[in-house]
Amino acid sequence: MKPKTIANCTRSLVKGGAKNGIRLGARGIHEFRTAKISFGNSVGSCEAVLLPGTRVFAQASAAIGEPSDSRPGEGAFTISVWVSPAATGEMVGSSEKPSAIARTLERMFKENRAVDLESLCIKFGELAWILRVDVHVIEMNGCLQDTAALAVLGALLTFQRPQAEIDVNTDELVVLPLAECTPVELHLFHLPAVMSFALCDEILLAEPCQEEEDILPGKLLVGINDSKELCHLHLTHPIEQELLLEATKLAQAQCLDRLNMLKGLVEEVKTQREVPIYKRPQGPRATGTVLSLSALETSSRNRSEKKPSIKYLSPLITASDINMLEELCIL
Amino acid sequence: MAYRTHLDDLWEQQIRPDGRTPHELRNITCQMGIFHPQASGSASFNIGNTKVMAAVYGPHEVRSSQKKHHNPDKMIINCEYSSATFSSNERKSSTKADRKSMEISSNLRSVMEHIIIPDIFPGSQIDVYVELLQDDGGSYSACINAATLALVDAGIPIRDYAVAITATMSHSVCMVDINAQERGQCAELTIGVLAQSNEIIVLELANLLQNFYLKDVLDEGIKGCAAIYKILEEAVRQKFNKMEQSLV
Amino acid sequence: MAEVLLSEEEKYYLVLGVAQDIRVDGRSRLDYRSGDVEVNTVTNSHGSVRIRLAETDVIVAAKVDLGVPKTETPNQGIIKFLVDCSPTASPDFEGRGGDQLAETICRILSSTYAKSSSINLKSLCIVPKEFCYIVDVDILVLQCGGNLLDVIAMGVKACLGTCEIPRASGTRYDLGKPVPVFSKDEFQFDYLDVSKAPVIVTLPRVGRYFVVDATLEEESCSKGKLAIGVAPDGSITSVDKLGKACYQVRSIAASVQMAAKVGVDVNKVLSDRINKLKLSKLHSAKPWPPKPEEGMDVE
Repeated sequence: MKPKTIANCTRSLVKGGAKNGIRLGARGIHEFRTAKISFGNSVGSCEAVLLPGTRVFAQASAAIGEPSDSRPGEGAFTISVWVSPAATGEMVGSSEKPSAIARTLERMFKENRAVDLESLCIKFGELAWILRVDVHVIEMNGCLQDTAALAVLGALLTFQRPQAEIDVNTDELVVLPLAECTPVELHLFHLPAVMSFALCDEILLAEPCQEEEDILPGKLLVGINDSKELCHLHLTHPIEQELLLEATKLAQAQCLDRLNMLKGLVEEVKTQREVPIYKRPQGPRATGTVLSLSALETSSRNRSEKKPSIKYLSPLITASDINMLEELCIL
Repeated sequence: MAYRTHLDDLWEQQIRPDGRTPHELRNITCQMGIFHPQASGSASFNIGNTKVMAAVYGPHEVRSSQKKHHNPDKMIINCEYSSATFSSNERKSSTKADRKSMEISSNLRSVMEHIIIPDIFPGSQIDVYVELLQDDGGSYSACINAATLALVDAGIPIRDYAVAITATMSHSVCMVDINAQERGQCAELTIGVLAQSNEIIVLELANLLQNFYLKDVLDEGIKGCAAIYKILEEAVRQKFNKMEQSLV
Repeated sequence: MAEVLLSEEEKYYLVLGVAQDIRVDGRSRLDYRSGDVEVNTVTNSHGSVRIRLAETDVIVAAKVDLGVPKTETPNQGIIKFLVDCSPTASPDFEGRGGDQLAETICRILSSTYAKSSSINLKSLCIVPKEFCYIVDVDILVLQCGGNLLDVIAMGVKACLGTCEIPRASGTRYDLGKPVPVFSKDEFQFDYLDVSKAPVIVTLPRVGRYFVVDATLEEESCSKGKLAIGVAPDGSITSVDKLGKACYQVRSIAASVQMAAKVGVDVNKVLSDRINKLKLSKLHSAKPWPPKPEEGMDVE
């Protein structure tokens, strides 16, 4: 990727301003950006915006698949990041940017075990929910990691999956439709968020915009969760210890604010989404004719087959399916 | 459960599972010029059972693949980290670079760019290759130490040594140099500093660490880095004393 | 592959020297450079050696795992090879640069060890059709100073020879299926019998003559080379042609004879070394008193 050309006068403006505590966009040097979060119609979709001008969309989805050999009792969790050329005006598909964002998210959500993967196990060693989050960068103006982490967290918090269990008698996988069961939410052990800082000669600039990120020499990422634990640190420029500690303090306060806001919004969405009982389809719950997806996909399947075969089940339920089911059954 | 109690007993006397005290480093050996004369500079850095080798090639002409985007006044620093298929307990089945090693490569490059005096060889390229042979905790910090030594061995002018170590806080005691066994139970903060100015240049955190403890862990890590610096400098002095003697 | 660029004059000097049986470093055409093998370089594997021959430096590590035999050979274990050319050996190996060379070496090794004459794969089988050992031999090229293939073949032989394979003390029947039981004592293990395993002698032709153990400079003077597998009894197990050169039948016959002669000596030296290494391991690996690990040493 070609480095962006930046005018010398812009350089000196941003650098000189930073030294005097003045920033582009009239923010104070320790003032964070305003976050806006909205949720989509389908479950587990979330769009986070950090004003001005960074917009990231995340969609969580789950399918039933085989757990990995090394962790047979757990579901899987993958995060993929796509930076659209619309956001940058150039193709960055294979460049370092998407993979750097993906690594940050992976560290925070996966390696620190934010999501309870054990609860995603359906049958030990054979069937488990495969959770994936697709992150799309739609608009880019610095602080990609901050925005992306927020969007992913929003998506995970509002995600719901149908109940799936193994029928004890037939040893068959039964996926209950959302209308007939209480949708299962993901269990998160902790809620991480990340705050970025630009570094310029002993000065911290909270959540820089794109120009500040490009011009100022250093960048510091601080990831903190809701119980004030650090979960990610990344540094690209030498920094004094005091400055670092100051940054973590600032990040901690801001992170708690932001997480509280997110939690409030998530609660709102959940109450909106709850379907009143009288709207549910009438009639007794027919356990014998539950929507067993394996039966749906192939009616001629040999029922006496012991092991639930993945072949018929593979691209089972995605968020859009759930949405569709919801429309079919509920409305 | 008898085994655990035994460890707990030890821990009450502040002795870690491998017999060290909290502030003690594992055994360190380092060697320079292991790939002499093929590489311009090379070094190995072993800390306990973690073994890393580094080789530096250059400064040499910019390779044709990178020539297109290259500004002739600048110098290219190229880093590649790879881990051997047998390095961890669980065997890696492919030699392809994964996301993790790409991240380490790019982090390593940013460290090298800070310690090498900028643009002292305009229009040229320096390659730094780091190979992890065995991982027993603290592999990223070992990579930084090995790469620094290899740069010194290659005679490339650097501003300062980058030295790194891991540290953590467990049972409200700060510990330095975490091994693989301890890594599973507590946070692992990799701290790298510039040895002279004590400025922090590398920070990587695995697992969760209370923000409240950060200052203590940093202090512990910086102390550890100072100890590593002494060892690295000793190795360098020994090597160049030998060279001097052979010249006389 | 890592190559050095030589001027015409240098090549001329080198080729003429070889014709007079005096190479640049004073060796004759049939001499090897000096080298060394050390064991237990990587302590988390079942067997590992670091083998050095002059500047060529290779680590070979074997990890043993339990697996299912292939259906076509239900009573044999499996040995797999994976070669990794580290960029520390040469900047040319950066990224995917070393893959082609690695694949070639891997292919030659696999075909050499697939033959039942070279190693008794049946000894790696525990329960036919059900359980066998899978030995993953990983080869990491750290430095390449010529004659890479020979060094790797020697390393693999030494590594397999000193690899500790856990001893299955018997079988237990679980739901009518035999399941191997392993001894809990980690000092009970078996060595593989490598007394018939071949080494590879690579012969590049410099000018009109074949040389053994060529340096990088000599390799750059030759268009191609013959890689000949030689068993300890002097029989030829494989002949591979590498590079672009073409040979007359007569010269191939001559080179095979030469390789057989040299190969027997190499095998003998290597076998002696492997036996010594096994002995030294035996002494160092006494179960009691426990030898302190490196990590436990005081600063």
